[in-house]
Amino acid sequence: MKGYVGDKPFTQKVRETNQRRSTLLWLYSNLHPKFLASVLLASYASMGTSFGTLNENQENSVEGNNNKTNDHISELPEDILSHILSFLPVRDAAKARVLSPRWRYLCASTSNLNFDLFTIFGINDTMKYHSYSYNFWESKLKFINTVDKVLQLSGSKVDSFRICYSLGNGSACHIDRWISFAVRMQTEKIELDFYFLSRDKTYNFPCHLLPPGKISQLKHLCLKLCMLRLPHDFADRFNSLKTLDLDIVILDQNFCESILSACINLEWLRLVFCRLPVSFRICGKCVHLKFLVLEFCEGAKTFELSSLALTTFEYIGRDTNFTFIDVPSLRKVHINSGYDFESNEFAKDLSQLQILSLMLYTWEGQRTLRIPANMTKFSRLKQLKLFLVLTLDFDLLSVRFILNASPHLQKFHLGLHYQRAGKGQMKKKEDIKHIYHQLKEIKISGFSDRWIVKELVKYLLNNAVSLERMIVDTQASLYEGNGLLAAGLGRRQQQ
Amino acid sequence: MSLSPSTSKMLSLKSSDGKVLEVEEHVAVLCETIKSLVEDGCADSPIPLANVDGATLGNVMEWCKKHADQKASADDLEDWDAEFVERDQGELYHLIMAANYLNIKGLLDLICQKVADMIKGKHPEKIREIFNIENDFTPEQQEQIRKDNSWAFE
Repeated sequence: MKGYVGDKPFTQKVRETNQRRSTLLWLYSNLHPKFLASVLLASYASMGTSFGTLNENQENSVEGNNNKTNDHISELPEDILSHILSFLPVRDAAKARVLSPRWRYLCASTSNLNFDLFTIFGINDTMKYHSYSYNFWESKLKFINTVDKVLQLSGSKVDSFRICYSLGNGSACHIDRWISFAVRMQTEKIELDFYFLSRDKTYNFPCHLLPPGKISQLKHLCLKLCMLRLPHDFADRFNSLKTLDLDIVILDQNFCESILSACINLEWLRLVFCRLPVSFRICGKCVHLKFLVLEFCEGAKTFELSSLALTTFEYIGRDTNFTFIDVPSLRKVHINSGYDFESNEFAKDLSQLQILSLMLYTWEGQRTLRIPANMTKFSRLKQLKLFLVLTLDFDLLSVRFILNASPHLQKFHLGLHYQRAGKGQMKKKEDIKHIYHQLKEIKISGFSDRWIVKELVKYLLNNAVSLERMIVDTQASLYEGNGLLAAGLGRRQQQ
Repeated sequence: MSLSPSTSKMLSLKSSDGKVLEVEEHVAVLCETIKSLVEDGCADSPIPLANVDGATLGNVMEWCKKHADQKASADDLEDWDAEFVERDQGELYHLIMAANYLNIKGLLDLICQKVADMIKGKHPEKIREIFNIENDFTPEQQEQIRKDNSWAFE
């Protein structure tokens, strides 16, 4: 039922289950209105007979098979039973085949094929499954055979195709076959979620199996523990992609040039544990790129971002040498790494920034975090989320300087996590005045009764004159990535 | 084609058992079948719906009315739908047939999802019991088909 609002839904898809009716309707729509009424009456009546299921027709048939009248479900036309099956996981759809001869050869009209430990073996616990008392080779063979069996019985369209299992290049011939199948079925989303490669090599994603140019239906590609190399001649096969998620994927050195220039319609790019080139550049070629998420990626020393459509940028990692060249739409930034408030580069480069989320350690190696009293102003910032992993000697009250530099701030969320004992206590300060006119909501998580925390709360209460809500929570909440921030901006709905 | 509630006129729909139902046009056009007739300008006389009985037509229009309401929020509709599908199998059957015939994708998906939920996670024996499905396989057939789909039963 999702997505069914107002007058939108009907035009979206022509359902196969209605083909019979549509054909008739098409006939009617081509008739002159004058003749229509009589034709309608006559032919609807005959349809009634041919369906042989409802009302008068049904009453007539009741006498003949009295014992079956209650089995409504089996009386449904085949296309509707297929439609019902498409709402079931593959395991349940297979079970349904043994119900009666009526159900034996039914297959789902459209399906979301999801193959993992649960759907194939009925097992929930991956670790337990892989840890003891099982023969891996035998299980793998069974997994592959079962996938093949289900694919044989799949209907005419597959919306999404997911494989989550311990597979690598040793099984490439099977996986390639499945990918070809998915491509034939005009699948929009392919997800290969591989794990636990012991002696096997990583699977090399077969770009050559995707159809060239505009024919490709593939919109979403998620790869985990795979290799992705894109030969130049196959570049146009990624044109249709809207989202690309790569997790522990081995990329070739020219990744940025080859993949990003190939994905001309890309809106979402997420790279996790991928090795990036020394200078990572997103250039003007991805004109639709709105979300960029980089997590735990190694190798890049500098990041150069230039994308007109980019609205959200999320980064978890170590080195932060960002250059924002032309990002007029960038509203939301999350950085989980060191940040230098002295230079306050974001405020300088991103005057349009509205939402900023930072996760900071107040010490990093020899360096301790210092928030200067004067910094470049965040002229448009409306929301600030500041997650601090801090020591006792950190001057918590100095976070007020960030608020001072954000004259339009409306929401302030401070997450505190005391991790190490500091060197000493700080002196109490006199009451400080700095009125915040716009600040309406404050949330402090990880609240404790340390005096410095209480001082900060007191300070905020004294100065946020328009405050409507203050939430104080003793539970620590630390942002941990996974594209959650970007998700808030309306990531695709499939999950 | 713009059909807003304010300009909506009434349409009459005639069910298979001769009952005539007056429905606002912007509600009735949630049925693609009726929408096509309206668009072609053939919806003046009572529209004969030979495959839908009066009681089912009433239920279908109740659903359309709720879903044509611009003010209803998505959460609202979800709750309402969950209650709407709480019916006996006979009614569900007639609703599916009507939704298919009138081409209302949202309603068809809703009821099919409901039926799928009644099947999900259950053993075939239990499913047969719920829906009164007679198992008319021969024992040999039964054995064979069980074998073909054995992976799903482990």
